[in-house]
Amino acid sequence: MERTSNDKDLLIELVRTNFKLKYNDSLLGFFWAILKPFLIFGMLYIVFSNVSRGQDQKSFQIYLLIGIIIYNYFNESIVMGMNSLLEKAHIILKVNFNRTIAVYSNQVLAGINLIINLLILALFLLFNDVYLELDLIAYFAFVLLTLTILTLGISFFTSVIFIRFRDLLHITEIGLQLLFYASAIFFPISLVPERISIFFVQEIPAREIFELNPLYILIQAARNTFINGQISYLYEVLLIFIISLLFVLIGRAFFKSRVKKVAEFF
Amino acid sequence: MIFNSKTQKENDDVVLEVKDVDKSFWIPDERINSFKGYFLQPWKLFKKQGRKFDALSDITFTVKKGEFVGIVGKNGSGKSTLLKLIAGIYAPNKGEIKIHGQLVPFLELGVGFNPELSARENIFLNGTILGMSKKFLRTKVQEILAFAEVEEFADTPIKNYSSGMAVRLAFAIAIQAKADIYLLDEVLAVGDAGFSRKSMGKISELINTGVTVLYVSHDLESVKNLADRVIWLKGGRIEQMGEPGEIVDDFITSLM
Repeated sequence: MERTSNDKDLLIELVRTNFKLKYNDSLLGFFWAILKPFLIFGMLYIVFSNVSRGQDQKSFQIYLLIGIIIYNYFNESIVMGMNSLLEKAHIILKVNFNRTIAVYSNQVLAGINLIINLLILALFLLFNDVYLELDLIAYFAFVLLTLTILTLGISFFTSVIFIRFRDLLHITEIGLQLLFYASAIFFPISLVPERISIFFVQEIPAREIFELNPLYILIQAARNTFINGQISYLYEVLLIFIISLLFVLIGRAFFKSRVKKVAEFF
Repeated sequence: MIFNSKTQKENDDVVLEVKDVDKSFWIPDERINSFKGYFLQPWKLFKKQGRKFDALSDITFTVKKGEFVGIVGKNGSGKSTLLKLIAGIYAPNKGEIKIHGQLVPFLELGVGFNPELSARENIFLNGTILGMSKKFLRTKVQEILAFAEVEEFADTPIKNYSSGMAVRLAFAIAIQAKADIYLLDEVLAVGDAGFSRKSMGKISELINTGVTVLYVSHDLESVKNLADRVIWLKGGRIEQMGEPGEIVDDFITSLM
């Protein structure tokens, strides 16, 4: 029996267990995975379809749907990633397995949810007249890969920090809520005023600041593939990709150096 | 019972070296584990209030291949902390621990058991957590179920198991882990008298294959019978180390 090479088996087993507990035994099963994003989609579409009066309704639907699905994936990855060590405290205190597996397994779980949502999106796109070409799909996938690496990098930090600072989750939830509005999920960025003055601060370039948000850039890049048939923000996405890779490398080193020391704080 | 591990003593390979190990825990007067806490009392970031608890100090010993080392001591003397340091769960404050070979810790049986899952599924979950490969486990499922005497309930969620059945299953999985060094924390005798005898038999089989065992227990008779050498921990320090008979007797006298 070789002990060194069982990381992959452990990863599969942890993912399978979680997946089974979450979906298999519940009455609605798979339906749960898509319920939340599609309810939000329905509600936002009903309320805000007027916003897009100028454009056609179908592209607003796709605009909204892609935004919600990607935001939802980001949200789940961040929250689950942060929890990945603390929720396994009972195992971590008894067995010295490779701790990074805990982080990877939650990222994979969030990824499975994303894939289920993407299948619905694919059906939706097939019934609508959109640009579906191989290079566009590849770019869309690359954008999602970039987002995955970004959240993985963040999780390596937050999973460790969360053990010492238990209110990190509350702070993050506020941050994620703000990010939902800051990522232009349900409105076009043109609705954000170019310049705004609050109290004594004059002439804040609001829209330019919005456009610096990496999540907005990734969502916008993903949207433009199917809605306009464009490969957009290529330079920005590549930059985020490289920064995310660095994040993962530094995050892993941080994680490995700290993970044993935080075991006392569970 | 026959345990002939003593014959292995000639082998001089050192498999475990513990050198000058210190481990202390910080016991705060008031544990702050939130940003809010530090925001309200920012000085706590710099000036920690509390006291240091030295769980272990100046621990040095080596273990040779095939040795069975018993560790005795009162509650809070550092026995479990020592095993957790060796298992790599905590990092020592000072000193170093060198391990030559594969190590499997049994600090608790059934780590990661999920009550909603069936016995079969828990075998794979618990087994992979203990470091076994799925391929290996697949060949062992029947043997594990048979040894635990739960074949009829292989697909029943273990939340419906009696505590005895669950602990038998946990033992049957754990015993499959193949390693050079085993850390056992009070996990030898489980289940009813019959199963307990069966599990002790399995362990003696294991010991006879020449593995190294570190065994923490309050069952002093079993320590006396099984161990080649005993370490007596007192207040985080090694009080005595050596011949099981003498040290266990001294330890018992100290308790009087």
